Amino acid sequence: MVIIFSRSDDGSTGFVAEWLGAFNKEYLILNTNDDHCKFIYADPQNKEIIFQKNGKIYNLFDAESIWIRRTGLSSKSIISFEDSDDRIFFEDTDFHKLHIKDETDQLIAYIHSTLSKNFNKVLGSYEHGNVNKMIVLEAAVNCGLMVPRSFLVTNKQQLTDLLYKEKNIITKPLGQGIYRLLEDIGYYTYVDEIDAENIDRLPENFFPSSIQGKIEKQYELRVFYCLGKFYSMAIFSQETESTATDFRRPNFDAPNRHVPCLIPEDLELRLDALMKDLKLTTGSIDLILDKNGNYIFLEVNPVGQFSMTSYPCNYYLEKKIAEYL
Amino acid sequence: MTKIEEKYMDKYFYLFADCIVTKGFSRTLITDTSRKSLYFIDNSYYDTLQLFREMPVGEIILMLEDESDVDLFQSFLNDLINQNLGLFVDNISLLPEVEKVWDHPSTITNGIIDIRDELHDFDKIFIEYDALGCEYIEIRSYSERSAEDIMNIVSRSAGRGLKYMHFLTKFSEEYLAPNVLKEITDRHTFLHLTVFGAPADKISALNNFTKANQIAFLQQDIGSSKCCGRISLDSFRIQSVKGTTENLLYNGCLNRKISIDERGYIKNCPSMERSFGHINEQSLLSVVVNEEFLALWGINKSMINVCSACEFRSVCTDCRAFVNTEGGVYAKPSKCKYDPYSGVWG
Amino acid sequence: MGMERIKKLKLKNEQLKNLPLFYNFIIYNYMEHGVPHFHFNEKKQYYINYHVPEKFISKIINYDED
Repeated sequence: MVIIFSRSDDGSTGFVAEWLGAFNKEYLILNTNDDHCKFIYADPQNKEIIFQKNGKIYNLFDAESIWIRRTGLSSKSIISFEDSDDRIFFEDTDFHKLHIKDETDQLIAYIHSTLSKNFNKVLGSYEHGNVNKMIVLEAAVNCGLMVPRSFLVTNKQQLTDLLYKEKNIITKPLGQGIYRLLEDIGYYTYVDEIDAENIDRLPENFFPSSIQGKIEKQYELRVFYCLGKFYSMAIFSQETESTATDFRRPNFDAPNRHVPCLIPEDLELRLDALMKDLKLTTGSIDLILDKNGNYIFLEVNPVGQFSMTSYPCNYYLEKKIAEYL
Repeated sequence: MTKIEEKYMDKYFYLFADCIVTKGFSRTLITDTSRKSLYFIDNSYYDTLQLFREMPVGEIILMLEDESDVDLFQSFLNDLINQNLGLFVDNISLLPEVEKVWDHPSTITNGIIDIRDELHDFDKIFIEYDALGCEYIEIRSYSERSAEDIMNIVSRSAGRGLKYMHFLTKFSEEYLAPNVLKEITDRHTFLHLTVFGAPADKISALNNFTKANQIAFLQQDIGSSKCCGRISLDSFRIQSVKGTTENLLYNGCLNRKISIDERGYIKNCPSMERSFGHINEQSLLSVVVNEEFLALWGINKSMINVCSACEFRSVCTDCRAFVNTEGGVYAKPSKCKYDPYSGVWG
Repeated sequence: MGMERIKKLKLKNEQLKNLPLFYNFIIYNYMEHGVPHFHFNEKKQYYINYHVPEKFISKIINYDED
């Protein structure tokens, strides 16, 4: 049996599961955001961690392989307590809720840790699933990779100085950008250049913001790293204002081209060293090939959407992962 | 005409890998799978496209003897650039072509089910298609069906693995009432309905109402499966790299397809003669392991007379049911009016 | 979900001065409302997303433009 920790809205999980089905491999998917799987019982001495799904009982230790795509577990997986309980504990009615949340996190961390140690075939990681972008950039430099020049600024004067010195600058979130879908409206951050034209309308002071030197690119790369191998895709965007900076913003007249590419062996060695340093067995790496032929490392996403590389490039990554698991 | 700048002479010209090149007898076709466009170039440039992958632009020019050849080459290259089909790169070995492989987790990806007066056992049918991983089904009804009948049939496939169903049915007066069909597509959002044989004077009004509801009305009348197999320039649809690769490696229409004709016989497609049993007595699974049934999946365009010399083989999905009398199973589709030797649609 | 016209989000200066710079660069669009085009398949344990296939399943319809 293959165990997959994921979220119900993760497309790649479904595609891999289709292949598992084709290979007649039984699988169990636990989703962070649904309550279909419930924790029942654990007996570490007898290697038992019991969950129930759709009336069936599963011992997670019976599996042969695990894919940790997302946490897969949350308070929804734990038998829920009565929310309407308004008994007062320690003068603060919310105390027990926060306490239970912490207990839940402890349980989830334990389950992931003990499972990861017990299987030979583990793809992905719970512990190392969150990466800090700035820390990663420094780790990348230590591994011999080139990165954009980065700064943190808090006022417009610093920004103006940087614009003068670096000539072309962009701003990015330190953590996640905004990708929020509400009832009627979807909101998304896009990476745009700060230039003489738009700098005036920015506020005088602001929350610490990440500024990077803009890279003049030949093309962008999205590299999916899995089990020590690299699967690379080049993205050519129309050289127009709207997509030149951030390939994620669509240009409907001329959609971006997603094509297979290769990366030089020495780049592979450095990236491999970085992934090992970050303790990641899989992830999506964003790079830019600049006009001088240098590969500039931007970021790594431990849970990258690899189907957007797999399909246009004919890599069949979903099939390869299903074969491995 | 602009001369290619000196600075590009030691660079390679990279034709984007999502542009598929097929050489025909009279001209070469570049299928742009991302922008969904077709570009025709003279066959004399087919070899040039191969050379682009082997040597820098400047070296190709050195190979050309006449000044006029150099002019033609530069003009050709400019055209490709202006059409955004490629660009100059330093190292072409880092930009390979797409690997020509195709696979799919489902044993069966699609199927056609024909019905006339009698209904088949759709519960059995949908269960069996689902077990084979089928994603897309087309049902063609050659006789009038009540909306209730349609709802009944479609409901039996709901909640399974199907991603799309196309239900073609003969026009019935009942459909003139505004929400009669909309009720069905609202309930089953994977369903697209096409009503054929609709009265000419009512069509535009009907289509205005139903456009957004996955319902279309056609004037065309369809009598039986004999009407299938149409091949024309307007009927080509440009697929993604994945789909185009499948189309080149396998039979574009029959690959991973299993069908049931109007009398309930299991076939590759309803228009074919050869049947492999009746759906009431046999399972689709038992047919899918039959070697004769499977053989048709592998007949691709490069194996078919005339078609192997046709530049449209990247986008044409072929037809093995209606073929010219000479050539047997490898004959050109009889309903195709294109002559690749002259480059003319008849 | 349809990709309607994309607009730039303009927040007030009072809000922006407490936010990082990238809040000055947010786009949004109104999403098409309609009936859902997917369902969760319990047995397979994932969502089945409906979509129109790339190629025609049969070649019986006349698409010729006259």
